[in-house]
Amino acid sequence: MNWEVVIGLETHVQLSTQSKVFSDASIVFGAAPNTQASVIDMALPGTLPVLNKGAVERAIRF
Amino acid sequence: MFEKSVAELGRALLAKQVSAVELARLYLDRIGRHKELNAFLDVRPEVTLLQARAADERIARGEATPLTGVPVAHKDIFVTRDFASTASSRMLKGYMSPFDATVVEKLGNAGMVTLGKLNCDEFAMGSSNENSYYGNVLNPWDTSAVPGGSSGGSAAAVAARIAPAATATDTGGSIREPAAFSGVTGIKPTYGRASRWGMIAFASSLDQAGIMTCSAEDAALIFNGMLGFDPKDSTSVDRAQEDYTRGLTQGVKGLRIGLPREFFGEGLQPDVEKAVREALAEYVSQGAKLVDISLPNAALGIPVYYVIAPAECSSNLSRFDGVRYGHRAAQYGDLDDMIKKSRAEGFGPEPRRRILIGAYVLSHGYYDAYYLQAQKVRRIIADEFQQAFGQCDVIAGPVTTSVAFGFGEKAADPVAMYLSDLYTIPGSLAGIPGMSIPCGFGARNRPVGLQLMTNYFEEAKLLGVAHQYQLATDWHKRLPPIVSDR
Repeated sequence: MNWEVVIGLETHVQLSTQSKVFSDASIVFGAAPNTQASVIDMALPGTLPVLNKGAVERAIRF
Repeated sequence: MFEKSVAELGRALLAKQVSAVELARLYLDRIGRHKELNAFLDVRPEVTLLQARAADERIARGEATPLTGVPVAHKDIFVTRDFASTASSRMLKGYMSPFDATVVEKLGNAGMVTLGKLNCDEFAMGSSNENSYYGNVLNPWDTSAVPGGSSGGSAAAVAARIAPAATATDTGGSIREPAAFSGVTGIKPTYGRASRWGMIAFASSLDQAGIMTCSAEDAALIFNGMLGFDPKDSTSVDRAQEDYTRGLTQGVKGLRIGLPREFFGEGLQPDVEKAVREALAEYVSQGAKLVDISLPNAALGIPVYYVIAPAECSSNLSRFDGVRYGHRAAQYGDLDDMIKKSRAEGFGPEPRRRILIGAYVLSHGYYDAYYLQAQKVRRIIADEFQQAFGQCDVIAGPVTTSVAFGFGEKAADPVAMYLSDLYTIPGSLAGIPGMSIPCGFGARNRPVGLQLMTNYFEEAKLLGVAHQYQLATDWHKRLPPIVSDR
Protein backbone atom coordinates (compact mmCIF):
# COMPACT_ATOMS: atom_id res chain seq x y z
CA MET A 1 0.00 0.00 0.00
CA ASN A 2 1.10 3.52 -0.74
CA TRP A 3 0.41 5.83 2.10
CA GLU A 4 0.76 9.57 1.66
CA VAL A 5 1.84 11.27 4.83
CA VAL A 6 -0.05 14.42 5.64
CA ILE A 7 1.31 16.30 8.61
CA GLY A 8 -0.59 19.15 10.11
CA LEU A 9 1.15 21.66 12.32
CA GLU A 10 -1.00 23.37 14.89
CA THR A 11 0.85 26.45 16.00
CA HIS A 12 -0.04 28.81 18.77
CA VAL A 13 1.43 32.20 18.27
CA GLN A 14 1.30 35.07 20.70
CA LEU A 15 0.42 38.18 18.74
CA SER A 16 2.88 41.01 19.28
CA THR A 17 0.41 43.52 20.60
CA GLN A 18 1.16 46.26 23.13
CA SER A 19 -1.83 45.43 25.28
CA LYS A 20 -4.45 42.81 25.93
CA VAL A 21 -7.06 41.60 23.48
CA PHE A 22 -10.00 43.30 25.23
CA SER A 23 -8.37 45.99 27.34
CA ASP A 24 -5.53 48.46 27.06
CA ALA A 25 -3.72 46.97 30.03
CA SER A 26 0.00 46.36 29.66
CA ILE A 27 1.27 42.84 29.03
CA VAL A 28 4.95 43.17 29.95
CA PHE A 29 6.45 39.78 30.64
CA GLY A 30 7.59 39.25 34.21
CA ALA A 31 5.68 42.13 35.76
CA ALA A 32 4.62 41.71 39.39
CA PRO A 33 1.36 39.76 39.76
CA ASN A 34 -1.91 41.73 39.63
CA THR A 35 -0.21 44.92 38.43
CA GLN A 36 -1.43 44.55 34.86
CA ALA A 37 -5.08 43.76 35.52
CA SER A 38 -7.30 46.67 34.55
CA VAL A 39 -10.89 47.15 35.67
CA ILE A 40 -11.95 45.53 32.39
CA ASP A 41 -9.77 42.48 32.98
CA MET A 42 -11.24 42.14 36.45
CA ALA A 43 -14.71 42.48 34.95
CA LEU A 44 -15.75 45.06 37.51
CA PRO A 45 -19.44 46.00 37.28
CA GLY A 46 -20.03 48.38 34.39
CA THR A 47 -16.93 47.52 32.42
CA LEU A 48 -17.06 46.70 28.73
CA PRO A 49 -14.45 44.99 26.53
CA VAL A 50 -12.99 46.87 23.58
CA LEU A 51 -11.41 44.67 20.93
CA ASN A 52 -7.71 45.32 20.33
CA LYS A 53 -7.51 46.47 16.72
CA GLY A 54 -3.86 45.51 16.44
CA ALA A 55 -4.64 41.96 17.48
CA VAL A 56 -7.11 41.61 14.65
CA GLU A 57 -4.66 43.10 12.13
CA ARG A 58 -1.86 40.77 13.22
CA ALA A 59 -4.11 37.73 13.14
CA ILE A 60 -5.16 38.60 9.61
CA ARG A 61 -1.57 39.16 8.49
CA PHE A 62 -0.38 35.96 10.08
CA MET B 1 -38.28 76.44 44.00
CA PHE B 2 -38.79 72.67 43.73
CA GLU B 3 -41.56 73.20 41.20
CA LYS B 4 -39.08 74.75 38.82
CA SER B 5 -37.89 72.80 35.83
CA VAL B 6 -34.26 72.04 35.08
CA ALA B 7 -34.32 74.83 32.50
CA GLU B 8 -35.71 77.31 35.04
CA LEU B 9 -33.28 76.22 37.74
CA GLY B 10 -30.37 76.66 35.36
CA ARG B 11 -31.49 80.18 34.56
CA ALA B 12 -32.09 81.02 38.23
CA LEU B 13 -28.59 79.84 39.09
CA LEU B 14 -27.03 81.91 36.32
CA ALA B 15 -29.02 84.94 37.43
CA LYS B 16 -27.76 84.30 40.97
CA GLN B 17 -31.35 84.10 42.27
CA VAL B 18 -30.31 80.92 44.04
CA SER B 19 -27.01 79.18 44.66
CA ALA B 20 -26.14 75.56 43.91
CA VAL B 21 -25.55 75.01 47.63
CA GLU B 22 -29.02 76.36 48.48
CA LEU B 23 -30.59 74.13 45.86
CA ALA B 24 -28.67 71.11 47.09
CA ARG B 25 -29.82 71.77 50.65
CA LEU B 26 -33.39 72.23 49.50
CA TYR B 27 -33.49 68.88 47.68
CA LEU B 28 -31.59 67.01 50.40
CA ASP B 29 -34.19 68.31 52.82
CA ARG B 30 -37.04 67.18 50.57
CA ILE B 31 -35.42 63.75 50.19
CA GLY B 32 -35.40 63.51 53.97
CA ARG B 33 -39.06 64.42 54.19
CA HIS B 34 -40.11 61.75 51.68
CA LYS B 35 -38.16 58.76 52.95
CA GLU B 36 -41.35 56.69 52.89
CA LEU B 37 -41.13 56.54 49.09
CA ASN B 38 -37.84 54.61 49.46
CA ALA B 39 -36.65 56.20 46.22
CA PHE B 40 -33.07 56.77 47.38
CA LEU B 41 -30.59 54.09 48.39
CA ASP B 42 -27.50 56.18 49.10
CA VAL B 43 -27.46 59.82 50.10
CA ARG B 44 -24.24 61.55 51.26
CA PRO B 45 -24.89 65.22 51.92
CA GLU B 46 -21.23 66.11 52.34
CA VAL B 47 -20.45 64.80 48.85
CA THR B 48 -23.41 66.64 47.34
CA LEU B 49 -22.48 69.91 49.03
CA LEU B 50 -18.88 69.60 47.85
CA GLN B 51 -20.14 69.29 44.27
CA ALA B 52 -22.54 72.17 44.84
CA ARG B 53 -19.78 74.45 46.11
CA ALA B 54 -17.68 73.60 43.05
CA ALA B 55 -20.66 74.42 40.84
CA ASP B 56 -21.11 77.79 42.55
CA GLU B 57 -17.45 78.59 41.98
CA ARG B 58 -17.83 77.69 38.33
CA ILE B 59 -20.87 79.93 37.98
CA ALA B 60 -18.94 82.76 39.66
CA ARG B 61 -16.10 82.28 37.15
CA GLY B 62 -18.58 82.61 34.30
CA GLU B 63 -17.91 79.04 33.14
CA ALA B 64 -21.38 77.59 33.72
CA THR B 65 -23.45 75.47 31.33
CA PRO B 66 -27.28 75.49 31.44
CA LEU B 67 -26.95 72.47 33.75
CA THR B 68 -24.32 73.74 36.19
CA GLY B 69 -25.51 73.59 39.77
CA VAL B 70 -28.74 71.77 38.87
CA PRO B 71 -29.24 68.69 41.05
CA VAL B 72 -29.60 65.22 39.52
CA ALA B 73 -29.91 61.73 40.97
CA HIS B 74 -28.59 58.54 39.40
CA LYS B 75 -30.26 55.16 39.10
CA ASP B 76 -28.24 52.67 41.09
CA ILE B 77 -27.41 50.79 37.90
CA PHE B 78 -24.74 53.42 37.11
CA VAL B 79 -21.49 53.03 39.01
CA THR B 80 -20.25 56.05 40.91
CA ARG B 81 -17.03 56.68 42.79
CA ASP B 82 -18.60 58.71 45.55
CA PHE B 83 -21.72 56.71 46.31
CA ALA B 84 -22.32 52.99 46.70
CA SER B 85 -23.36 51.11 43.55
CA THR B 86 -25.55 48.15 44.34
CA ALA B 87 -27.77 47.57 41.29
CA SER B 88 -30.40 47.28 44.07
CA SER B 89 -29.04 43.83 44.79
CA ARG B 90 -27.63 42.04 47.80
CA MET B 91 -24.88 40.93 45.41
CA LEU B 92 -23.32 44.42 45.41
CA LYS B 93 -24.25 45.64 48.87
CA GLY B 94 -21.84 48.44 49.79
CA TYR B 95 -19.83 48.10 46.56
CA MET B 96 -17.73 51.17 45.80
CA SER B 97 -16.67 51.51 42.18
CA PRO B 98 -13.20 52.92 41.39
CA PHE B 99 -14.66 54.74 38.40
CA ASP B 100 -17.76 56.70 37.40
CA ALA B 101 -20.09 55.68 34.60
CA THR B 102 -19.54 57.85 31.52
CA VAL B 103 -23.08 59.24 31.80
CA VAL B 104 -22.39 60.23 35.42
CA GLU B 105 -19.03 61.74 34.47
CA LYS B 106 -20.48 63.73 31.59
CA LEU B 107 -23.28 65.22 33.66
CA GLY B 108 -20.76 65.94 36.40
CA ASN B 109 -18.55 67.73 33.87
CA ALA B 110 -21.57 69.80 32.86
CA GLY B 111 -21.79 70.79 36.50
CA MET B 112 -24.81 68.83 37.65
CA VAL B 113 -24.83 68.09 41.38
CA THR B 114 -25.44 64.48 42.46
CA LEU B 115 -28.12 64.02 45.11
CA GLY B 116 -27.55 60.30 45.50
CA LYS B 117 -28.36 56.86 44.04
CA LEU B 118 -31.83 55.72 43.25
CA ASN B 119 -33.59 52.47 44.02
CA CYS B 120 -34.62 50.25 41.12
CA ASP B 121 -35.51 46.67 40.33
CA GLU B 122 -32.54 44.40 40.99
CA PHE B 123 -30.08 44.48 38.05
CA ALA B 124 -32.74 46.46 36.15
CA MET B 125 -35.00 43.42 35.96
CA GLY B 126 -38.60 44.20 36.63
CA SER B 127 -41.58 46.39 35.83
CA SER B 128 -42.70 47.50 39.26
CA ASN B 129 -39.67 48.08 41.51
CA GLU B 130 -40.92 45.19 43.66
CA ASN B 131 -37.70 43.32 42.91
CA SER B 132 -35.28 45.47 44.87
CA TYR B 133 -33.34 43.87 47.69
CA TYR B 134 -33.70 47.21 49.48
CA GLY B 135 -37.49 47.31 49.44
CA ASN B 136 -40.26 48.59 47.21
CA VAL B 137 -40.47 52.12 45.92
CA LEU B 138 -43.88 53.77 46.35
CA ASN B 139 -45.75 55.65 43.66
CA PRO B 140 -46.03 59.27 44.89
CA TRP B 141 -49.47 59.58 43.25
CA ASP B 142 -50.84 56.64 45.21
CA THR B 143 -48.57 54.98 47.72
CA SER B 144 -50.51 51.70 47.50
CA ALA B 145 -49.46 51.48 43.84
CA VAL B 146 -46.17 50.60 42.20
CA PRO B 147 -44.18 53.42 40.57
CA GLY B 148 -43.27 51.12 37.70
CA GLY B 149 -39.90 49.58 36.96
CA SER B 150 -37.19 48.96 36.64
CA SER B 151 -36.43 52.70 37.10
CA GLY B 152 -39.00 53.09 39.89
CA GLY B 153 -36.80 55.20 42.14
CA SER B 154 -35.99 57.58 39.28
CA ALA B 155 -39.67 58.04 38.42
CA ALA B 156 -40.80 58.43 42.03
CA ALA B 157 -38.05 60.94 42.84
CA VAL B 158 -38.97 63.18 39.93
CA ALA B 159 -42.73 62.80 40.51
CA ALA B 160 -42.32 63.79 44.15
CA ARG B 161 -40.01 66.62 43.15
CA ILE B 162 -37.25 65.37 45.42
CA ALA B 163 -34.96 65.51 42.37
CA PRO B 164 -35.49 67.72 39.31
CA ALA B 165 -34.09 64.99 37.08
CA ALA B 166 -32.97 61.42 37.40
CA THR B 167 -30.93 59.20 35.13
CA ALA B 168 -32.52 55.86 34.34
CA THR B 169 -32.11 52.93 32.00
CA ASP B 170 -34.48 51.24 29.58
CA THR B 171 -33.99 47.71 28.30
CA GLY B 172 -37.59 46.68 27.56
CA GLY B 173 -39.46 49.73 28.82
CA SER B 174 -37.82 50.54 32.13
CA ILE B 175 -37.88 54.29 31.57
CA ARG B 176 -41.13 54.66 29.66
CA GLU B 177 -43.28 52.41 31.85
CA PRO B 178 -42.37 53.96 35.23
CA ALA B 179 -42.59 57.43 33.67
CA ALA B 180 -46.15 56.58 32.61
CA PHE B 181 -47.11 55.05 35.97
CA SER B 182 -45.62 57.96 37.92
CA GLY B 183 -46.74 60.83 35.71
CA VAL B 184 -43.34 62.12 34.59
CA THR B 185 -41.51 62.61 31.30
CA GLY B 186 -39.11 59.82 30.46
CA ILE B 187 -37.06 59.28 27.33
CA LYS B 188 -34.86 56.50 25.98
CA PRO B 189 -32.59 57.59 23.12
CA THR B 190 -31.56 55.58 20.08
CA TYR B 191 -29.47 52.55 21.04
CA GLY B 192 -25.86 53.67 20.96
CA ARG B 193 -26.45 57.33 21.83
CA ALA B 194 -25.65 57.03 25.52
CA SER B 195 -22.47 55.28 26.58
CA ARG B 196 -22.96 52.04 28.45
CA TRP B 197 -19.56 52.31 30.14
CA GLY B 198 -20.32 52.14 33.84
CA MET B 199 -23.89 50.89 33.40
CA ILE B 200 -24.11 47.57 35.18
CA ALA B 201 -24.97 45.37 32.23
CA PHE B 202 -28.22 43.45 31.98
CA ALA B 203 -28.89 42.87 28.25
CA SER B 204 -26.14 44.47 26.21
CA SER B 205 -27.98 44.74 22.89
CA LEU B 206 -30.96 46.42 24.54
CA ASP B 207 -29.71 48.44 27.55
CA GLN B 208 -29.78 52.17 27.03
CA ALA B 209 -29.42 55.08 29.44
CA GLY B 210 -31.97 57.87 29.41
CA ILE B 211 -33.47 60.50 31.61
CA MET B 212 -36.61 61.13 33.68
CA THR B 213 -37.59 64.66 34.29
CA CYS B 214 -40.62 66.95 34.30
CA SER B 215 -40.60 68.11 30.70
CA ALA B 216 -39.33 67.40 27.21
CA GLU B 217 -37.38 70.66 27.30
CA ASP B 218 -35.54 69.50 30.42
CA ALA B 219 -34.81 66.15 28.81
CA ALA B 220 -33.36 67.90 25.75
CA LEU B 221 -31.06 70.02 27.91
CA ILE B 222 -29.84 66.99 29.80
CA PHE B 223 -29.36 64.99 26.61
CA ASN B 224 -26.99 67.74 25.47
CA GLY B 225 -24.84 66.95 28.48
CA MET B 226 -25.31 63.22 28.66
CA LEU B 227 -25.19 61.71 25.18
CA GLY B 228 -22.26 61.30 22.84
CA PHE B 229 -19.65 58.95 21.47
CA ASP B 230 -17.53 57.05 23.97
CA PRO B 231 -14.60 54.92 22.71
CA LYS B 232 -14.86 52.80 25.88
CA ASP B 233 -18.22 51.47 24.62
CA SER B 234 -17.90 49.58 21.34
CA THR B 235 -21.62 49.99 20.66
CA SER B 236 -21.43 53.76 21.09
CA VAL B 237 -22.40 55.61 17.93
CA ASP B 238 -19.90 58.11 16.55
CA ARG B 239 -21.95 60.97 15.19
CA ALA B 240 -21.39 64.70 15.18
CA GLN B 241 -22.32 66.51 18.37
CA GLU B 242 -25.87 67.84 18.17
CA ASP B 243 -28.16 70.19 20.07
CA TYR B 244 -31.18 68.21 21.18
CA THR B 245 -33.15 71.39 21.90
CA ARG B 246 -33.11 72.42 18.25
CA GLY B 247 -36.44 70.76 17.41
CA LEU B 248 -38.43 71.98 20.41
CA THR B 249 -40.11 74.91 18.71
CA GLN B 250 -41.06 72.97 15.59
CA GLY B 251 -44.86 72.98 15.29
CA VAL B 252 -46.82 69.81 14.56
CA LYS B 253 -48.88 71.13 11.64
CA GLY B 254 -48.91 68.42 9.00
CA LEU B 255 -47.13 65.95 11.29
CA ARG B 256 -48.20 62.39 10.47
CA ILE B 257 -48.78 60.45 13.69
CA GLY B 258 -48.92 56.71 13.12
CA LEU B 259 -51.17 54.68 15.42
CA PRO B 260 -50.30 50.98 15.40
CA ARG B 261 -53.61 49.15 15.44
CA GLU B 262 -52.00 46.38 17.46
CA PHE B 263 -51.45 48.88 20.31
CA PHE B 264 -55.17 49.67 20.55
CA GLY B 265 -56.53 46.17 20.66
CA GLU B 266 -57.46 43.72 23.32
CA GLY B 267 -55.88 44.26 26.69
CA LEU B 268 -55.79 48.07 26.56
CA GLN B 269 -57.87 49.38 29.47
CA PRO B 270 -60.59 51.94 28.58
CA ASP B 271 -59.31 54.60 31.01
CA VAL B 272 -55.85 54.51 29.46
CA GLU B 273 -57.24 54.52 25.93
CA LYS B 274 -59.45 57.53 26.73
CA ALA B 275 -56.55 59.64 28.01
CA VAL B 276 -54.34 58.62 25.08
CA ARG B 277 -57.01 59.43 22.49
CA GLU B 278 -57.64 62.80 24.10
CA ALA B 279 -53.93 63.54 23.81
CA LEU B 280 -54.05 62.56 20.14
CA ALA B 281 -57.05 64.86 19.67
CA GLU B 282 -54.94 67.72 21.03
CA TYR B 283 -52.31 66.99 18.38
CA VAL B 284 -55.01 66.94 15.70
CA SER B 285 -56.26 70.32 16.91
CA GLN B 286 -52.74 71.62 16.33
CA GLY B 287 -52.78 70.38 12.76
CA ALA B 288 -51.33 66.89 12.99
CA LYS B 289 -52.81 63.96 11.08
CA LEU B 290 -53.50 60.53 12.48
CA VAL B 291 -52.46 57.64 10.26
CA ASP B 292 -53.47 54.03 10.77
CA ILE B 293 -50.39 51.80 10.67
CA SER B 294 -49.63 48.24 11.51
CA LEU B 295 -46.82 46.50 13.36
CA PRO B 296 -48.06 42.99 12.63
CA ASN B 297 -45.52 41.13 14.72
CA ALA B 298 -45.34 43.51 17.65
CA ALA B 299 -47.09 40.98 19.86
CA LEU B 300 -44.19 38.59 19.34
CA GLY B 301 -42.02 41.20 21.03
CA ILE B 302 -42.56 39.77 24.46
CA PRO B 303 -41.49 36.18 23.79
CA VAL B 304 -38.61 37.48 21.67
CA TYR B 305 -37.47 39.81 24.43
CA TYR B 306 -37.81 37.18 27.12
CA VAL B 307 -35.49 34.92 25.17
CA ILE B 308 -32.89 37.49 24.14
CA ALA B 309 -32.71 39.54 27.35
CA PRO B 310 -32.29 36.56 29.70
CA ALA B 311 -29.71 35.07 27.31
CA GLU B 312 -27.65 38.24 27.43
CA CYS B 313 -28.16 38.62 31.16
CA SER B 314 -26.94 35.10 31.86
CA SER B 315 -23.69 36.13 30.23
CA ASN B 316 -23.45 39.56 31.85
CA LEU B 317 -24.20 38.29 35.34
CA SER B 318 -21.68 35.47 35.17
CA ARG B 319 -19.05 37.87 36.50
CA PHE B 320 -20.70 37.84 39.92
CA ASP B 321 -19.01 34.91 41.58
CA GLY B 322 -17.84 36.17 44.96
CA VAL B 323 -14.19 35.99 43.92
CA ARG B 324 -13.09 39.53 43.12
CA TYR B 325 -15.87 41.70 44.57
CA GLY B 326 -19.46 41.59 45.69
CA HIS B 327 -21.20 39.15 47.95
CA ARG B 328 -19.26 36.09 49.04
CA ALA B 329 -20.93 33.36 51.02
CA ALA B 330 -19.74 33.09 54.59
CA GLN B 331 -19.72 29.30 54.62
CA TYR B 332 -18.59 27.11 51.74
CA GLY B 333 -16.61 24.03 50.87
CA ASP B 334 -14.50 24.32 47.74
CA LEU B 335 -14.31 27.05 45.08
CA ASP B 336 -17.23 25.61 43.16
CA ASP B 337 -19.31 25.64 46.30
CA MET B 338 -18.26 29.18 47.13
CA ILE B 339 -19.39 30.40 43.72
CA LYS B 340 -22.70 28.53 43.82
CA LYS B 341 -23.55 29.74 47.31
CA SER B 342 -22.43 33.33 46.66
CA ARG B 343 -24.65 33.54 43.60
CA ALA B 344 -27.61 31.83 45.21
CA GLU B 345 -27.41 34.18 48.18
CA GLY B 346 -26.50 37.34 46.27
CA PHE B 347 -29.13 37.22 43.52
CA GLY B 348 -32.83 37.68 44.16
CA PRO B 349 -35.51 35.51 42.51
CA GLU B 350 -35.89 37.54 39.30
CA PRO B 351 -32.18 37.56 38.32
CA ARG B 352 -32.01 33.85 39.17
CA ARG B 353 -35.06 33.19 36.99
CA ARG B 354 -33.62 35.09 34.05
CA ILE B 355 -30.16 33.57 34.35
CA LEU B 356 -31.71 30.10 34.23
CA ILE B 357 -33.87 30.95 31.21
CA GLY B 358 -30.88 32.51 29.50
CA ALA B 359 -28.58 29.59 30.10
CA TYR B 360 -31.25 27.26 28.77
CA VAL B 361 -31.98 29.12 25.54
CA LEU B 362 -28.27 29.39 24.77
CA SER B 363 -27.48 25.79 25.55
CA HIS B 364 -26.37 23.22 23.02
CA GLY B 365 -29.40 21.86 21.23
CA TYR B 366 -31.63 24.79 22.11
CA TYR B 367 -29.65 27.76 20.77
CA ASP B 368 -31.08 27.50 17.24
CA ALA B 369 -34.65 26.92 18.32
CA TYR B 370 -34.74 29.75 20.84
CA TYR B 371 -32.00 32.36 20.67
CA LEU B 372 -31.30 32.33 16.95
CA GLN B 373 -35.01 32.24 16.13
CA ALA B 374 -35.67 35.13 18.50
CA GLN B 375 -32.97 37.24 16.83
CA LYS B 376 -34.57 36.57 13.43
CA VAL B 377 -38.00 37.64 14.66
CA ARG B 378 -36.37 40.68 16.26
CA ARG B 379 -35.12 41.67 12.81
CA ILE B 380 -38.64 41.31 11.41
CA ILE B 381 -40.05 43.53 14.15
CA ALA B 382 -37.35 46.15 13.51
CA ASP B 383 -38.09 46.07 9.77
CA GLU B 384 -41.80 46.61 10.43
CA PHE B 385 -40.96 49.86 12.19
CA GLN B 386 -39.02 50.97 9.11
CA GLN B 387 -42.03 50.23 6.94
CA ALA B 388 -44.26 52.14 9.36
CA PHE B 389 -42.00 55.18 9.31
CA GLY B 390 -42.49 55.26 5.56
CA GLN B 391 -46.08 56.31 6.28
CA CYS B 392 -45.69 58.51 9.34
CA ASP B 393 -43.25 60.84 11.10
CA VAL B 394 -43.84 59.68 14.63
CA ILE B 395 -45.57 56.65 16.14
CA ALA B 396 -47.88 57.20 19.10
CA GLY B 397 -49.88 55.04 21.42
CA PRO B 398 -50.24 53.94 25.01
CA VAL B 399 -47.20 53.09 27.12
CA THR B 400 -49.00 50.50 29.22
CA THR B 401 -52.25 48.57 29.13
CA SER B 402 -53.38 49.97 32.48
CA VAL B 403 -52.49 52.54 35.08
CA ALA B 404 -50.11 51.56 37.88
CA PHE B 405 -51.21 48.36 39.60
CA GLY B 406 -51.16 47.74 43.34
CA PHE B 407 -48.28 46.07 45.17
CA GLY B 408 -48.40 42.32 44.95
CA GLU B 409 -51.00 42.27 42.18
CA LYS B 410 -48.65 40.88 39.55
CA ALA B 411 -45.64 39.87 41.62
CA ALA B 412 -46.75 36.27 41.97
CA ASP B 413 -47.17 35.75 38.22
CA PRO B 414 -43.99 36.53 36.27
CA VAL B 415 -45.73 36.29 32.90
CA ALA B 416 -48.43 38.77 33.93
CA MET B 417 -45.63 41.08 35.06
CA TYR B 418 -43.79 40.65 31.75
CA LEU B 419 -46.93 41.69 29.83
CA SER B 420 -46.58 45.16 31.41
CA ASP B 421 -44.02 45.90 28.71
CA LEU B 422 -46.23 44.91 25.76
CA TYR B 423 -46.13 48.32 24.06
CA THR B 424 -42.61 49.32 24.97
CA ILE B 425 -40.68 46.17 24.07
CA PRO B 426 -41.07 46.42 20.27
CA GLY B 427 -39.32 49.81 20.21
CA SER B 428 -36.57 48.47 22.44
CA LEU B 429 -36.00 45.51 20.15
CA ALA B 430 -35.69 47.87 17.20
CA GLY B 431 -33.41 50.27 19.10
CA ILE B 432 -35.42 53.35 18.16
CA PRO B 433 -35.88 56.25 20.59
CA GLY B 434 -39.05 56.39 22.69
CA MET B 435 -40.68 58.68 25.22
CA SER B 436 -43.51 58.70 27.70
CA ILE B 437 -45.18 61.98 28.59
CA PRO B 438 -48.03 62.46 31.09
CA CYS B 439 -51.39 62.84 29.33
CA GLY B 440 -53.99 62.54 32.06
CA PHE B 441 -55.26 60.27 34.78
CA GLY B 442 -57.11 56.97 34.77
CA ALA B 443 -58.59 54.63 37.30
CA ARG B 444 -58.04 55.66 40.92
CA ASN B 445 -56.53 58.93 39.77
CA ARG B 446 -53.34 57.22 38.73
CA PRO B 447 -51.36 58.79 35.88
CA VAL B 448 -51.52 57.78 32.22
CA GLY B 449 -48.60 58.15 29.81
CA LEU B 450 -48.57 58.78 26.06
CA GLN B 451 -45.85 56.94 24.17
CA LEU B 452 -44.07 58.62 21.27
CA MET B 453 -41.46 57.00 19.05
CA THR B 454 -39.44 58.22 16.10
CA ASN B 455 -36.93 56.57 13.84
CA TYR B 456 -33.25 56.23 14.67
CA PHE B 457 -31.39 59.40 15.62
CA GLU B 458 -34.50 61.61 15.49
CA GLU B 459 -34.53 62.52 19.19
CA ALA B 460 -34.69 66.24 18.43
CA LYS B 461 -37.92 65.71 16.48
CA LEU B 462 -39.29 63.40 19.18
CA LEU B 463 -38.60 65.95 21.90
CA GLY B 464 -40.16 68.67 19.79
CA VAL B 465 -43.37 66.71 19.28
CA ALA B 466 -43.56 66.13 23.05
CA HIS B 467 -42.75 69.77 23.82
CA GLN B 468 -45.56 71.08 21.62
CA TYR B 469 -48.05 68.99 23.61
CA GLN B 470 -46.60 70.25 26.89
CA LEU B 471 -46.95 73.86 25.74
CA ALA B 472 -50.69 73.33 25.28
CA THR B 473 -51.42 71.15 28.31
CA ASP B 474 -50.35 71.03 31.94
CA TRP B 475 -50.46 67.32 32.89
CA HIS B 476 -46.69 67.41 33.27
CA LYS B 477 -46.94 70.19 35.85
CA ARG B 478 -49.39 68.48 38.17
CA LEU B 479 -48.11 67.62 41.62
CA PRO B 480 -49.03 64.50 43.58
CA PRO B 481 -51.04 65.34 46.72
CA ILE B 482 -48.23 64.25 49.06
CA VAL B 483 -45.99 66.84 47.45
CA SER B 484 -48.41 69.71 47.68
CA ASP B 485 -48.74 68.94 51.38
CA ARG B 486 -45.02 69.04 52.11
